[in-house]
Amino acid sequence: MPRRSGPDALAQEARFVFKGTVKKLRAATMREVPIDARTVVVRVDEVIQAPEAMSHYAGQDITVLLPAKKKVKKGQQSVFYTNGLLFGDSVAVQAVDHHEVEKIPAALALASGGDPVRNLAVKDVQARVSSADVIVSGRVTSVRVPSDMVAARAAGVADPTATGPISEHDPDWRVGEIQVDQVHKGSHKGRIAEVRFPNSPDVMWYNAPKFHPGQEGFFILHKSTRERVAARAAPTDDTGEYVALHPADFRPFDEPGGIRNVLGLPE
Amino acid sequence: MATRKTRRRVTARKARSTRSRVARRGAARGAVHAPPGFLLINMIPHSLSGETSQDSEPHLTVNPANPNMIIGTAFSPNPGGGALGPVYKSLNGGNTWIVQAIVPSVAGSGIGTGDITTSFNRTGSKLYGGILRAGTGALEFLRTNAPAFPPMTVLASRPNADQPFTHATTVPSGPGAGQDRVYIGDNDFAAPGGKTQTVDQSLNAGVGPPVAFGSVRVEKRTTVGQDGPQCRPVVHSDGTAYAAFYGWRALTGSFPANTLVVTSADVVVVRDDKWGAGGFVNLKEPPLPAGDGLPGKRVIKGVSFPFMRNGTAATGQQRIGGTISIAVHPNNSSVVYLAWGDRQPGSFLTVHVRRSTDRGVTWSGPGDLLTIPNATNAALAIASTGEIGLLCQQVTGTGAGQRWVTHLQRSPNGIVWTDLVLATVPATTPVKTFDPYIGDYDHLVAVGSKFFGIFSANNTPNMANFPNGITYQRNANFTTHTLLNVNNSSPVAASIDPFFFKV
Repeated sequence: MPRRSGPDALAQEARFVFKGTVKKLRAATMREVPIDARTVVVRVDEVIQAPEAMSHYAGQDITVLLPAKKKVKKGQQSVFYTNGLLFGDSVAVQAVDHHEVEKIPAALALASGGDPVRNLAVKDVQARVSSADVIVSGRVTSVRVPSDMVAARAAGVADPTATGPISEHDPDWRVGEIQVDQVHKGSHKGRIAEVRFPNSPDVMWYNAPKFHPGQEGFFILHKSTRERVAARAAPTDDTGEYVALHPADFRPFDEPGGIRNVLGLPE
Repeated sequence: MATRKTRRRVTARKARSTRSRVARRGAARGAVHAPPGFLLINMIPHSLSGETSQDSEPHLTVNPANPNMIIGTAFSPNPGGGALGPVYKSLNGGNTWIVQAIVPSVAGSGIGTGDITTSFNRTGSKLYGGILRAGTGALEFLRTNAPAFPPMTVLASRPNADQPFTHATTVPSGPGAGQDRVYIGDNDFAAPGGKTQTVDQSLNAGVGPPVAFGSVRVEKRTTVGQDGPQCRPVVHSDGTAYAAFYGWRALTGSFPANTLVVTSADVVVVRDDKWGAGGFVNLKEPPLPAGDGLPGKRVIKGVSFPFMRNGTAATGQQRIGGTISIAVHPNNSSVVYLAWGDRQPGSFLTVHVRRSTDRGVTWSGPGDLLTIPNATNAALAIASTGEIGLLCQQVTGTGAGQRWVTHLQRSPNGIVWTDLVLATVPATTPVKTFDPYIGDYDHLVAVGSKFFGIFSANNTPNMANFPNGITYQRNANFTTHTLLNVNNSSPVAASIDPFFFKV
């Protein structure tokens, strides 16, 4: 697959983005990292985008594994687009690419100086917005057990397996009805959108959105036929038109910035 | 940096002094102090001092050819958020740990992977794994090379199965010498006739891809429509392969309502005498009326236990759904130990241990060799000395005083047991992020005369929680009982961490 090279694309591909200064060539901060020409020590000057666990690394020296055919000079300051690789007494990251600081894109420049965890969350929302079939704003009016599962559960009084295999990873599907106030992306007919979501607190599903009546906000929706989970998704006749699986698939109205910025809406 | 190291060394000294006091108190209760060489360590590395994930459901494998090389796993997200899930790796016998991202996953996953277990082959040149992949839930079989541990290769993938449990070895001599044999027990909902207990096996997994895996349906009896999720394979170096599982025969209640009870299950042991090539049918019950003539010995019939959707306060936030483990004596494949759980009066799950000395044909009883109430996550292993080890986690107390107590029970003969308390931590905090709270399993392995184990528990840095001592890699203040971020000053909330031990 061809590698995306634009800074914005790189920031989507990389989770840990930082400004850094190259301190040592052919060196590492961890003895577990084999040293070669692609291994450099970089001081993290400023974290721009990061998961929570890597958001406090400003001022620290870390190991960067450069991609093939990419070189840096000692003392060079760059924006590094990386993903975590090794975590021990120090950290080693695999660089997707790096750019001169002056070439930092507008979006990242705006993010620079902000909360790196929040910046990553915005990137995640951007990615979900980009892949969404439909984005609506509105309110959850009801949540129900899918009709076919209601029937199965009734049968399950006598036969607990009537609803299908019993598994601790059962998604425990629900269908939320959303009263649509506005469509922000794609095409949706009617005032109601039906969204299937896993109600289970199991490890496989806990971070998917859990809808409840009265919940208001933006719903980033994907067609259930396109984003069906392969295992135990229990596709049924009453699937709902859409499915919400990613934690970024719901954004509340009162979230500052975030999706409003992504959609170009006023605060 | 100097401050941090000093802090960790001070912690170790405190651990030794605390150990002595606890040993005197514990002796009267049958508990023992840790022997020389005992190590218990929080596996979260220093650079992840700020992490607060629920790192539950741990598993462990030790390189048989080099016990300094150990791989641990848990429900841990990639701290860097990339498209690979992490494993915990030690190259010095567990004294220090790093996190390395090598497991196929999806970028930004809140969990690095679903269920995961791994196993080295006998020579330690390859690491195998079975996972439920994050994002799809697909059952996948994995392999990578040691000691480099590049990202794991997917050898096979299919939907609709649960709880892969991996055991790998290498044929030491004779026919097939040098071939890697990989056995992954799972509950395959696609199995015909509701006989879902399955051992997916490859008898030459070290070459390819493609690597041929065959699904051996080890359940031969009528089920309630499926079996339980646990299928635990173990293989002796002479080619004797065992597996243990629950055959579900009757249910009541509702899983969605969290009231489901398995009202009748058989604890079944199957055996194959040729590395699994014969389909695990070498251990048969006698014909009627003594048995039913079918492959698979029903060691215990008609046990009952809850199969919970959610953990509750009464169960220390942990969902309960049975527990099962099997271990074979490394010097005598006829000797096999079995642990399982069932509900007993006053106990949501009681762990029982029994033994067979004739390849599973007959079993000790009717009494248990060992019985532990209100416990789960049983994991058995047998050392080269013949010493038996049982790791399990038990709920004690109620209300605010409720605790998860992690035990390592050891016995030279299966009769006399000594209890080494590894951890006794609050069961009410932290509040669970997801189910399972501490995991649907933990793990214990034996290499030579040593036991190596892993469990998950509350990580509050309090010496009273670890009566036989503890070492932390992450920043922690044991005086204020506070975890600290990488800057060694910002407090970090308590969470569930994986802990490694060896003895």
